[in-house]
Amino acid sequence: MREKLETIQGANTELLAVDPHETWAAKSLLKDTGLSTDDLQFPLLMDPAQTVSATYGVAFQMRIHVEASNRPATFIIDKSGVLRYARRAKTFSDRPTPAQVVRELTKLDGK
Amino acid sequence: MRRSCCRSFVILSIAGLAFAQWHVPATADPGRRVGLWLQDVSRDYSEQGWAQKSKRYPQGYMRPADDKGWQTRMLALRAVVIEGKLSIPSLLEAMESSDISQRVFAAQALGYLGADLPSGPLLHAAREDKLTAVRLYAVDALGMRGNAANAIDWMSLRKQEPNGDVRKHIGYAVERKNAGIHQEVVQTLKNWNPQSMNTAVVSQPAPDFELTSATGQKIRLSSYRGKKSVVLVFVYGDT
Repeated sequence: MREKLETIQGANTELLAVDPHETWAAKSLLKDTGLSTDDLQFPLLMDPAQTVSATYGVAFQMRIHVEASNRPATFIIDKSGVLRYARRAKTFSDRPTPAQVVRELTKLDGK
Repeated sequence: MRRSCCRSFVILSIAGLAFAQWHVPATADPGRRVGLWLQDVSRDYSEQGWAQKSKRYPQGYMRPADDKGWQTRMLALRAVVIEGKLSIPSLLEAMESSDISQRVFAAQALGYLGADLPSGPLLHAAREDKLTAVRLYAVDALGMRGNAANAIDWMSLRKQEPNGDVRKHIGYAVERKNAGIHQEVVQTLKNWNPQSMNTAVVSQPAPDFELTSATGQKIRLSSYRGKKSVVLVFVYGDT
């Protein structure tokens, strides 16, 4: 996973993660896994107002809140600022593998 | 590489069509009262089509993929922060509703009113509501009150809570140590232009934004333009 992360970040690409919680909640969640925010290899951007999530069509659900009801979403934006890939997951596990992300990145062809 | 670029363009265009979704009719009038928005929240919520059924969640816990109600809930949430404490009576009434979409939304939204909201009805919901999501958001909202959350007996609440996720959130509420909802969060929601809802479309310019990272660094998407491509991952697609 870490190797893949380096491939993603190495290819002239920045990885940004967006989290809809308040900062303290992210810190607390990380602490559960034995990490601090300084250990992260990429910026974890906080979106507690959910405005960026809503803009990208990844908004809050309401019914039963369980960990597995998360639907992660992945977007790829090329160098010119154009959105080239969008995948909003249907289930928790429905997300592109790091290898798929790398493949999508190579498709950008230097753009 | 050239050829694969064209092919990927075709594939991405198809993906773009699949993702080019509906747009909410522009009823985002800032003067529209929360009471009216609550009616829309009910109208646009459906019990049908929920996925991931299990013994514990016989009706399923995963929102249908084509659900449009989230856009209404987002606009309603914005209306709540614009109306501020004047929206409290409507939201408290919604907390009493037999319609679960009203209760879940109201519990979520009340948290954004921070110290202004009364704790009684939320505490009641955190203790008594049959629906896990209502208890969870009621707990979150109580924590978001900041100093006002001091008087709550979190330990007894935790003891009687059957759901592990809710117990976890009780832990977070305690751990935030009286830090209320930040006014900047409320301001951001207030200032957000609802016309930008769901505007990320493949092969079009990605909507720009600026967010602050967990380590306090301000990052603007457009600052990478001309320098780097960006992989943007929303780790909690639905929360």
